[in-house]
Amino acid sequence: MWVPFRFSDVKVVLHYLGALLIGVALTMSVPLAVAIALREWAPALDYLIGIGVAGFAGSTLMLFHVDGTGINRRQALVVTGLVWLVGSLAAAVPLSLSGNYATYLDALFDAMSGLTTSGLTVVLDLDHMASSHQVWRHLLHLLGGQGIVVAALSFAVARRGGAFALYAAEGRDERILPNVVHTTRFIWFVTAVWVVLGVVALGSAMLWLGMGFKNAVVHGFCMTVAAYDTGGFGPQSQNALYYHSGLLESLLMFLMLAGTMNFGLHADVFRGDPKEMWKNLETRVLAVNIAILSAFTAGAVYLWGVLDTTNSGFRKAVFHVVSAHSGTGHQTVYPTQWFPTLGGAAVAGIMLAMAAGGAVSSTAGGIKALRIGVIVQSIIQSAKQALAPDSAVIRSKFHHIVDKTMTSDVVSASMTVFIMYTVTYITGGLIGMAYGYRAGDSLFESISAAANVGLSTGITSASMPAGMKVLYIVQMWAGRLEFLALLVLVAAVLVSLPRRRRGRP
Amino acid sequence: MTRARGTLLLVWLAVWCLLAAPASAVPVQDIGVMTTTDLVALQPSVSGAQVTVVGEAIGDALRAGPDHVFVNLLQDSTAIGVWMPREESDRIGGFGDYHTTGAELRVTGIVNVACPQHGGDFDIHAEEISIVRGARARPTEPVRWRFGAAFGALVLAAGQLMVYRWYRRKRFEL
Repeated sequence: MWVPFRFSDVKVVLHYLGALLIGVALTMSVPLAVAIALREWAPALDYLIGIGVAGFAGSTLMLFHVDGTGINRRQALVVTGLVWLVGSLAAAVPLSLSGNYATYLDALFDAMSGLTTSGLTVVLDLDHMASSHQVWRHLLHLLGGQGIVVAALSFAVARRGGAFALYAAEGRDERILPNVVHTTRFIWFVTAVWVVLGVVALGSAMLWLGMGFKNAVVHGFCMTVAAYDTGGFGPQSQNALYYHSGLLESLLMFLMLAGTMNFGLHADVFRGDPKEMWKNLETRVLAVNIAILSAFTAGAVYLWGVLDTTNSGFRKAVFHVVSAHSGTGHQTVYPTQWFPTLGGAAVAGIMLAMAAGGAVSSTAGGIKALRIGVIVQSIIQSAKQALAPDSAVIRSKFHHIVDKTMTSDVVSASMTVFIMYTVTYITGGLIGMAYGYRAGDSLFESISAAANVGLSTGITSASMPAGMKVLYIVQMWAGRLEFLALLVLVAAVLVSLPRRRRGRP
Repeated sequence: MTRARGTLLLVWLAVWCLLAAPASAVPVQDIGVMTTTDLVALQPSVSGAQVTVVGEAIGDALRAGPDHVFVNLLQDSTAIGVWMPREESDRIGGFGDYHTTGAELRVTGIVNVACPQHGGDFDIHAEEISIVRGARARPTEPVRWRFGAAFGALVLAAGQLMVYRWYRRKRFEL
């Protein structure tokens, strides 16, 4: 039975969205501080306006449910579905004032891309963008990657009821610690350790490359956050190609792989149990997939690409497979270079890596390695069952944090998400083709948007049609939510419409 | 044609091919002045050609070997890495960023669509560099109306937050 949303439900949803908007407003104080420190006075004003707009909107929405009591699972799913859009609308305000975006829609595109850790961008003149705006764009990766709801739970909303409803609605199911609030704080602790290590490592490498101290710190922070949160933005228009450095590419690959791991596994490593990494089905699937696709892509580049040496082809292939598989989107080739330089077969390998994605309960997007592992194992189980005697019952188990039995429910849930991603990839590709883009480019860009990767063949730009911008915004949003929260949102709106509007007497 | 003449002709053709083929491969094709956007769009047909580009030096000079650096050159919306001797980059007065429009350089060099020396990157190995225009400050002063807008937005936000807190306190008192 479809249970319609009552006005009391709507008021609770609006209240929590308001609280999350206050969180976004408070976070804008970070780029504001950077702007003041670096004497970027115009951007400082942009952030004061942004704080004012988000603060006013947040306070107004919170007035709808002043009691601020708990939130149930249904309401939490709708809040989670809407928070990415509402958060992006607020985050886009200072960006749209920066002068680096042609329209507010373009700023919204980048804000959604930042929060969903996609990395596709329609920014203009990125090489002259203020450092404070750079920090804000990359901070959105951090906020979205760790989970905007997780962020709010850790600080503001945690004291009220329904914390777990919000946490689970964001697609996270692991309970690293018994208490949800402690779990979210642990996620932030792990992130802080990785970000500090990353900034020190990348910043030192950048200083060695000859960058000035300010640029090394800003670039070090931006690239660390973009890699660890599997985002893919970069502070320069050439992205990772700007540095022309194998050392930096190696460090980025390490951070991208760390970011694509399940937070539960990070917790095990922090607790001194690294063996779990090798036992876990998901880690094994990721390792095998990355190895096979890297070898395939490198071979394809060698046979059909124009890269002159095996070494160059291997370096490009491995970097982009890791970038694609982890859902990051850092690239060291120009968008127009993919097909002519690497060759069609290598690009197909990159597309497969993007579509597959990283680990569940991580910052990565895509179908996810665990689901692929479950589907493959269920196919093997079906084959075994078909060959076994009639009386035999074949059961199989897999290890993911704990030992689990392969049930039809587990397989069905994985298949559902697999099908929804595949349909979204193809639909986006077809719409791109309808707009006149080449089939290969269009499918590549669609997978990149829906799997929250950020690699681009050049379709994504300020000059692309508004319809394509809206399409990719929706794809990034749906992909980040793994469809469930967005479908709940659509269903909640439809069943709550007055009956006459739905064509009933 | 007798058999001997035919053999002679074939030998002559073979010798001609052997002599002519390397001669046609050696000269570097000069494609003249190009925009960086066109250069990137035309690859890989331009690989190995000599080209001249004009653009703004951005970011920093980045170490690339003991006595060379990479300087990224921006024109329109496309930046390309130029590999040059360190002493050449020392002449560049300023690099482009938020506060500065970097020095404008005119670079003639060899295009590598997938440079074997630099990990397969798209780059230009500079042969001749000249500074067309020095670095200069970019206008970054705030627009006046934004002071008012910022003040207004903050006052509205603070006011609404106070209303919320007052209303909430009142509800709990009841």
